[in-house]
Amino acid sequence: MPSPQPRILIVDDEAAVRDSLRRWFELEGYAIEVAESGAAALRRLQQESFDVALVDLKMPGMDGVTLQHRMQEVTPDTAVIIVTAFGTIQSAVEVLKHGAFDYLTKPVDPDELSRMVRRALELRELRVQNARLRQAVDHRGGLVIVGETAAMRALNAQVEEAAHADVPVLICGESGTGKHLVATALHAASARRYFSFVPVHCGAAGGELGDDELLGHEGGAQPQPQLRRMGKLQLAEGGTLFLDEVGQLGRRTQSALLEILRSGTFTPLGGTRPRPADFRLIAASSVPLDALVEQARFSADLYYRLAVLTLTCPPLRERRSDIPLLARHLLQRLAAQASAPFTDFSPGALERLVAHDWPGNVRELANAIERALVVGRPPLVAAEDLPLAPTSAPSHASAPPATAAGELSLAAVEQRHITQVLERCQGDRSQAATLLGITTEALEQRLATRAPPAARG
Amino acid sequence: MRSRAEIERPPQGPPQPRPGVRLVPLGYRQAPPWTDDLARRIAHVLGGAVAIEAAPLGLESALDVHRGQYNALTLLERLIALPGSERLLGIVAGDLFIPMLTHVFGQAQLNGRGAILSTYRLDNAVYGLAPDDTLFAARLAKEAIHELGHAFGLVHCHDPDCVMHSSMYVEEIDLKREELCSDCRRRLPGAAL
Repeated sequence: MPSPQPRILIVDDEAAVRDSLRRWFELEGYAIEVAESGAAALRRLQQESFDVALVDLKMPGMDGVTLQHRMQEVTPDTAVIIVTAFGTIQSAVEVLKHGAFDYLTKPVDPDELSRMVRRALELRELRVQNARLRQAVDHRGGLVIVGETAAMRALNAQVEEAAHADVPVLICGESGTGKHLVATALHAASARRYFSFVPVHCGAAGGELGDDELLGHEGGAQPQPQLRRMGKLQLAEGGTLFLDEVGQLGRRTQSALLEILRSGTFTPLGGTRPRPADFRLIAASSVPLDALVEQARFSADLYYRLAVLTLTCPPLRERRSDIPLLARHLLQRLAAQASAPFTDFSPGALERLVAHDWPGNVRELANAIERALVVGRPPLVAAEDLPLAPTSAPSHASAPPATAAGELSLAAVEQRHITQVLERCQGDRSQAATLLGITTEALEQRLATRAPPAARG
Repeated sequence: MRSRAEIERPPQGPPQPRPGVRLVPLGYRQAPPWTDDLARRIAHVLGGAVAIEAAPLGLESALDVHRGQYNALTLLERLIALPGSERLLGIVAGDLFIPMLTHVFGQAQLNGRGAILSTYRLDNAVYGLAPDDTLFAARLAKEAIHELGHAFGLVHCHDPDCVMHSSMYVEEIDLKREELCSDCRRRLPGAAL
């Protein structure tokens, strides 16, 4: 898209200078406005914006340097070129120090003036493009954590808050609940988003990361003396290091990592000088890390350093009302990737999706939809396209078994059912009462008498 | 940055006959030898009638004795005060300046009555080179058409071959052609060329 006609403001107390520059630049095709003083220029700047301002240094009242300072506050994007008949190195240094684009001494060579204005406009255009690109990657770079249940709204709010804290974050949740996505969103919303996000799967290679893989090595180090290798920590410099399944990290690597976090530095193999450990650490685990600490399988010191902030990704079965929204989101993305003309789910398919317990959580849901795109017929995904049992019992190994006597009581089952229906209706009690087949008053009464939820360890 | 050729122009109404051009040599005791050739070359590119008629405009009031140059804006103001409706191109032998700039080849009123042009920097002798009448005539014609183009509403063109391309040095004048690019021809008011 072409940019609009460049706009130039000429500020000079001499009418002849204003007039001659206006005529000169009009021939270049620029839109020109003039002001006879600093005050008049500021009034003009309150009404409209300019790409470039040519400002005379010596003017009665507000001089060019003062005007430039004021312009930095009012319109910092305007490139200011200071012009004077009394050029000194001191005045040139002063205006440049305060952010002027450049400095010219009268009389000006026309070629120099034209080039300078062109450069100022090009710089301005680059800044605008840069701002556009930054906007495009801002706000999590378009990453969406889909969910409208209370738990997911809370998680989204926590991600927003934690992103700006620049402290280690531990993300807990069953396998497939989106911990990697949350880590990516944390990075993308943080001040480190313009640097790398480096994921490390801690379960690989028996949980022990080689020193060269973690720390890298300088040229001259063994085993290949001629090569310099960037380690994960160097790759993550300025950005984020994501330790996925950190519970699987071996004891030796735990110790190495702990030492790096303690000292805030690390030394690549073959190196002599320590480098600052300038990265944000995000870790994720599908098993409770505190339990591993109790079993002495995970360093308590490292755990406390990782768990400065803890976020929890809820399993899909605990946010069933999100399933239609999430399924449609995945369908849209996967169908586009596969160039498959599917637009939605049949009512039966949606019912089946909501009824399923999803022990593999969102990953399992995505896989089921991906398969349906292969076996189904567009435009709707039908129930029979989904590789799910019509009714499924809770099957996830890590799902908390409802063995406590209290949880099997009729009252507890009723309360759980009410909670699920409320979540599905996004807290709308009137709609929930309709679905439950009772009056709103009856629902209110049941909610008023419900027992506080049992604490989970 | 948007290229100059892409700059939107005000919507044009039905084509109006283009005003004629009058060349006004200023400060010459007798008609310079290049006037007829210049008039023919201007008519060839811009079309329409081109007359040659000196005017009794003294240059003294436009002379800046400290700079040894003539103020182009002062001369232009006096030139466009001449009666008539044709576009005026005043031509002087002395060097021109406008406040702020060290020099200009010429100065025009955008979409206005006239323009002023200096032959001073078009002459090889200024640069210590051997005189070249053919080159001088070509430079003069290109700059005359360029300034009149402004008076007819054309702004600088991005096409380096187009005569409306901005030139800061004579070498740049030599590089461009003595004609309008298709865009500038289309933008020129009046009959299609």
